[in-house]
Amino acid sequence: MARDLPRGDIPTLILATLTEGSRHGYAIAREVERISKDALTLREGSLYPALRVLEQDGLVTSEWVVPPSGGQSRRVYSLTDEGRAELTKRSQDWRQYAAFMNTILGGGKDNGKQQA
Amino acid sequence: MANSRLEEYVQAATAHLPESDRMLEQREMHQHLIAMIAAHEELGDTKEAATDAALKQLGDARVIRGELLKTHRRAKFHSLMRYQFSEFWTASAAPAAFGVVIGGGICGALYARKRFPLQLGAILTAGSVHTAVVVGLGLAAGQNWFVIASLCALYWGLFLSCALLGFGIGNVLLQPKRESFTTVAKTSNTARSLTALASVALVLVLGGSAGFWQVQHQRQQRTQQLVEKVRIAEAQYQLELQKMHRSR
Repeated sequence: MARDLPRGDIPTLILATLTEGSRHGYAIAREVERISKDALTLREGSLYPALRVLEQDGLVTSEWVVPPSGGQSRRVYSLTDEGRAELTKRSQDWRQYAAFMNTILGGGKDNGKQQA
Repeated sequence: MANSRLEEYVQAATAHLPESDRMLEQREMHQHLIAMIAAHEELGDTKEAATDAALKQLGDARVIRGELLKTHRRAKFHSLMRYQFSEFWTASAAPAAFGVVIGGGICGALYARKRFPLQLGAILTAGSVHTAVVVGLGLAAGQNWFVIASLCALYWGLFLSCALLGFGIGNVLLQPKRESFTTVAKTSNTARSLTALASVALVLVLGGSAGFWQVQHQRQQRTQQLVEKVRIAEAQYQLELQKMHRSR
């Protein structure tokens, strides 16, 4: 079942989609869908304000690039070194938080055994 | 029909943004919508249905406008603070340098002659205020502590160096009359106060004029650069629009 993506998580997901290379806004939205295997739906208009904030914080940069196939120039976003470091930090925080919640809710191996 | 709906949507989503930002946001959002419509059409939707789906997927234009305005206000605040910081630093660098060189020198020289000067109090107070403002503005502008501490250390380091130099000059060249210190200090309080006021006024007038001129010059340069940037962005956008209309 597809879930709406919480607004606070959008910047982290944007950073994650840019680790493999530069992308434009539309491609970022499609990549979020692809890596979540359509489990998360993104209100795509939220993408641009989130990208502006990331740019202001120096975590991503953008430039207008004409595609190799020609046509209109498109704004392409790339991860900066600060963005990469921030993503690593956020991933660690997220894992710690998930482990903590898992412990509280009795998830993990024990929960699996009980269910079995 | 579909095109006019797209235009209306992007206009609504980017209303109230500054002109140059609005054009770029509209262009990017328009491209995103066109790509989404094409994807829906590939899946078999009609043009109208594909447009409906794309607009729904992008979300309420008013919500997007609110979020964009918020981020632009945030950027404006940060750039304003950065601008204020750099402008304050430029404006205060000249008076600070005068204060450091003249004030430090005078302090050192007078201290060597055992006349602990009133200027020292005035200059130390001015220096402390300067430091407080550098720290406050620096933090508000998002500068890191290293930059702020470096600026303050530079100021105080230079001040102490000049004071030491003045002390050396005063001690060696001015041949201090230590025995007459008490008498001189008692009789020349008014003169010392006037000297202190005059030197602070000199520092402020000379330094302030230099600082003001620097700020005016920088402002003119920045305005010219900004006008040029907006002109280029506008020309590029018009070209792209013409190309798009021709290709249709």
